[in-house]
Amino acid sequence: MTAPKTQPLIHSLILAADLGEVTRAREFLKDVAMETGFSEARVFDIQVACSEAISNAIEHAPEKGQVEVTTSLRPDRLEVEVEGPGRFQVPRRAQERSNRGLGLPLMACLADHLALYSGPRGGTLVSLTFYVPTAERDGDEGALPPSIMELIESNELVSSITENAPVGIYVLGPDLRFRWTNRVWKGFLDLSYRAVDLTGLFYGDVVPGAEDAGLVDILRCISEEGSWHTMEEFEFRGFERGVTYWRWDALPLKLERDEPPYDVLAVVSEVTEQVLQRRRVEALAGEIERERNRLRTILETSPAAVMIVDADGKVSYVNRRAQELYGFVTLGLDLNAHAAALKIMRLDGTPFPVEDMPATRSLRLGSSVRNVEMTIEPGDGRRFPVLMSSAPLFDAQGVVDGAIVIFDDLSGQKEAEEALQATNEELLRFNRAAVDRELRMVELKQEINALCAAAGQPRRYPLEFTTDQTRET
Amino acid sequence: VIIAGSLGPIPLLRVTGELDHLGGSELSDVAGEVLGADGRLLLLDLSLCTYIDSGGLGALFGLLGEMGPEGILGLIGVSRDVCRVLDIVGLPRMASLRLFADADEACAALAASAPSAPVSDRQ
Repeated sequence: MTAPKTQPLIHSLILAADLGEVTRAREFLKDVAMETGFSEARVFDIQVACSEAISNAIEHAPEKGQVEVTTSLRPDRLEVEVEGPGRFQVPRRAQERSNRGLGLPLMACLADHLALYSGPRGGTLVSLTFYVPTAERDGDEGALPPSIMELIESNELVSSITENAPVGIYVLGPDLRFRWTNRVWKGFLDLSYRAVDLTGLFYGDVVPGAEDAGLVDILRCISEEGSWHTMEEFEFRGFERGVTYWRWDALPLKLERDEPPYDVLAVVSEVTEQVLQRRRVEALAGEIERERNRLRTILETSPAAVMIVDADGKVSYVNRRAQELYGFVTLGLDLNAHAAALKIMRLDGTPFPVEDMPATRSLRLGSSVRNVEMTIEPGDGRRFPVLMSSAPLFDAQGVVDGAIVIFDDLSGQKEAEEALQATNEELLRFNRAAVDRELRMVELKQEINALCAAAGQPRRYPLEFTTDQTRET
Repeated sequence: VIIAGSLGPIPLLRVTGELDHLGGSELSDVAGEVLGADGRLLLLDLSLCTYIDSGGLGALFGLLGEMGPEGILGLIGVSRDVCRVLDIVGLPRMASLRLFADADEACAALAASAPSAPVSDRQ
């Protein structure tokens, strides 16, 4: 199992600018590579490739310059960096004639990955990567049988399909080591595996996290039981690029053996974009639905009556309060029929032209209309005044798509006004009566006081009204 | 380390150890001496050569160039590892280069091409 997060084991060696130092560097590289588990032949290749980089760096270093060799050992690969103070020399024809210029092709052929970096102040860094084999790759034991390879390679149609179809195809042996993969499949992998010959490598090592995701078990099951396996949207988290989704078909490939364990053929396509896109759409639809429900709740519980008219002037929605006021619901009526059914009039009793109604004006002009008074007669004996406002509704392109009409029964308000008026009048009348009675009482008392005075008796009622006192003086 | 000798009439150099830039330039020097101006035949015993890189390869290309299209450079006992490196640069495909498993095979193959005058051993 590869562990890309593991810290690499690093060794480094400083060399003087002397070609005699290359032997020492080769011994150092041999020790590191042997420790890593490379075969003796591969250790030889590593020594040759790195020596080329080191010799080149030493040759182009100034007399007292230094060359640094750093090896980083990772679970799946050995990385060797050779850093020198000189510029890397591209072989020229003249040099080739004197038998130089072989270093670069040797490095390129022997390393699995080669990179040259020029430092800003003229130094050069050569990076060589050697992947650790996880299986013996000598010979063609791991690859597909020659007959199949021949079919794929010699038949243009077959090779065109396997190389160009937008699906990854691979064949695993019963030990779940790769026997063959197409180009597209390698393109799905993490960068570090794209340039590697996968033949002979264990599936679980090449696809990090495959073991945890249960893929290894599924593949083993297919090989051992000869069953098919299909997954429509398999969520996978093992690749460095994060969560991916896959359409996955795997089946036993009965090439050389007609009894288990079989080879396994898998056809895989990535559907991450489609899945994410669909989820975005679903999320949006959910949001719209929630928004719509919220709006419906607001409309249904609104104390005001609400009606929605579509772009053709047809009533498409009335809320609960509007149903109460209208006493009936007929959706789909156009505004003419609607106005006729409700006998909409002006307050003075003259007919209210449909073209002047708030909804019609909002639809026609795309503007709001506020506080228009009218009366309606729903036909159940009621007749009441309403105060109506309307506003246009726009679609996503800003075109008027309908109108919303809000109205309310004014009769409650009118009745309250009338009651208040009556109460006021009653109060006034009562007040007037009370004052009259009081005045009459004062007059009677004055008369009695006058009679008392005439009879030589003291005043019977102490009247303190100004009028009385004025009269007395 | 390079030891000069001969196999019958054919000059033979035994290469021990590494044919890198240092070993390669030593080979060029010694071979130049052995061949002289018009040498056309040379055998290199590489059975004890443990390593080769562009230094050694450069020396081999140099010898082939010096001997010209008529010359023959025979390599004896090349190891698998060294042979792989020779393959990468295309040496075995050159008409002037021959690969022999051992001295006997080289002797039999080159008897006809050998110069009549024997070359004395020199160390």
